[in-house]
Amino acid sequence: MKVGLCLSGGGAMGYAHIGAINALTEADIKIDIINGTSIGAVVGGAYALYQNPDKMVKLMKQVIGSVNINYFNIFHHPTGSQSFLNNWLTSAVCNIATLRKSIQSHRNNLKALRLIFDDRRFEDTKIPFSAVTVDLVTGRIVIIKRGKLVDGILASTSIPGIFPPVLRGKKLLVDGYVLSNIPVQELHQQGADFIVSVELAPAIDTNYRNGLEILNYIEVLKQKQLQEWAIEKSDFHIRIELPEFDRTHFNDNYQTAIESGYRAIKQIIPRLKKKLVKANV
Amino acid sequence: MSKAITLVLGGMGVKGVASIGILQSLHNHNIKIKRIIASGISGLVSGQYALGTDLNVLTDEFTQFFEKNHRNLWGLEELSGLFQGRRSRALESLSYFLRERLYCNANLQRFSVLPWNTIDPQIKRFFRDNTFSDLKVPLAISTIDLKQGREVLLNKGSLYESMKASIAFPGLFTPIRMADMELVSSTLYCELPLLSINEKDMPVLAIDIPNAPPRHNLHSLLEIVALTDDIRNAAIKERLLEKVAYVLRLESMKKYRWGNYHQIPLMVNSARQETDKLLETITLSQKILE
Repeated sequence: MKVGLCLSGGGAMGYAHIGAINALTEADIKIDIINGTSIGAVVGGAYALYQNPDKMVKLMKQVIGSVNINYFNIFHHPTGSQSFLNNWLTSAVCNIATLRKSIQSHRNNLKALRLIFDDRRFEDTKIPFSAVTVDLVTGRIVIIKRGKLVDGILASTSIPGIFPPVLRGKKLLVDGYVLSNIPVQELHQQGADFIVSVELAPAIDTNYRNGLEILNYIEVLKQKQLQEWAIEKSDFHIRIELPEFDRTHFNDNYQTAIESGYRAIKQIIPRLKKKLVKANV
Repeated sequence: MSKAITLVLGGMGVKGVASIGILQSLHNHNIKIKRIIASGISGLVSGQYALGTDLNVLTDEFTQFFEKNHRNLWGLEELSGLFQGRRSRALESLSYFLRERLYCNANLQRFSVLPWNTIDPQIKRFFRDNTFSDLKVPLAISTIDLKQGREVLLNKGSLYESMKASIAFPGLFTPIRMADMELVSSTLYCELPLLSINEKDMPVLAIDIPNAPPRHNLHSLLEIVALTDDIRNAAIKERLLEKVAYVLRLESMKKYRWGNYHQIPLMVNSARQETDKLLETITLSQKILE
């Protein structure tokens, strides 16, 4: 019986996955297969490759120290001023920005991923691992389990609008969170019999200040709905609440997130073990 | 004896008007309706149908309304200054249009592209002081409450207010305040309001009004973001349709776009003809009529 670990997306909250994996390994829970979306793919890939949470923390510190991986999501930061000049400037910036494919390039993400994965391939991982992406051409989920880890995981972290889509054959791949932020179904398809899924839950801001924020909020609700359906298929779901954590700032508070992840899993270990025994694992 | 069905109607933007043709066809085939669940413009059409309005007259009303107000409506006129590619993209995807309007042109402070007063008098004329209890067929209007972050079905109180909530496409109009709720149309969440159907509603007949497949020559980040909105919408619709017994997919509606208000009579006609054809050719009508 194969135990699968399914790691959700969630930007900088993803540090909590490191703590979660640490707690699982401490409790001797053997993971046979891993998949992840977005930051879940980064952390999942690193664990599948090295099987060493301490090395993951070391690599993460190295990345924070040498690469600027913070990004600023302008969709959530409208200008607070009503002044004409400010509006005019915003308009000019926005109009130019909309002609581009993304706000940021892949440069810094690539640098960070190369630092973690070097030239290693999916086939090199000690635990079978896959990254989840969405193809804009077909509108379908695409599971990547072959090729260079950097290429596959880069596609899984390409948030549409923020980073450009990744061209792979005839596919235009973006972050899997569009359709499958917690890719439970996809892990089932790859042969996992018992799935432990880990969700990173931010605080959802229901106060909207303009029409664009209402549109974005509707998208958050849609994503939540798809996520709820995914969780129904999970055998053991763990929700790590991180209400205070800013998912766009990768350099701050990573220690707190790792600890939150560790604590959340530590608490449920006895329940998880019981359920694993019941499932004959 | 025929079995009464719950009819679920949706459709993106103006395409909801096609519901007129669908309702005419179902009526001609003597399909009994125990309840209608609708969203967007389909909600408006269903409300008029349930009040007993002649559906032919309704087509004319909609056509005239859009002809008279086309300069103000949808802000489509404003799009004429855009590059051809962006303009045509805006006409293809409602989500792109809204993001284009709200994100650019210093509209970041705005709650909506259009003010309610462009459309308010027409809704008032349609529904006056009627309430849901005046309806001959039970109707539920699907909306999203922004406060609770979930779907709310409106089935009592003022029809006028509920109809406004039905077409309050987020970003196009401001949300409608009702009791403690702030309501917007559920169409951008899921084109077909199937979220709240339950055992009592069975059997359900859902009418899928599909959109043309999106183009993939993506040039800008707004196109990419809007496409992901549409992909999510399609995924939610696909998943929800799995639990529905009968689905009529009107392929002919693919050629119309969400803002094709000058093609309303054509849309209504092709929806009626295709529904007729589907009901006659497949065994569905027999099953429902059994």
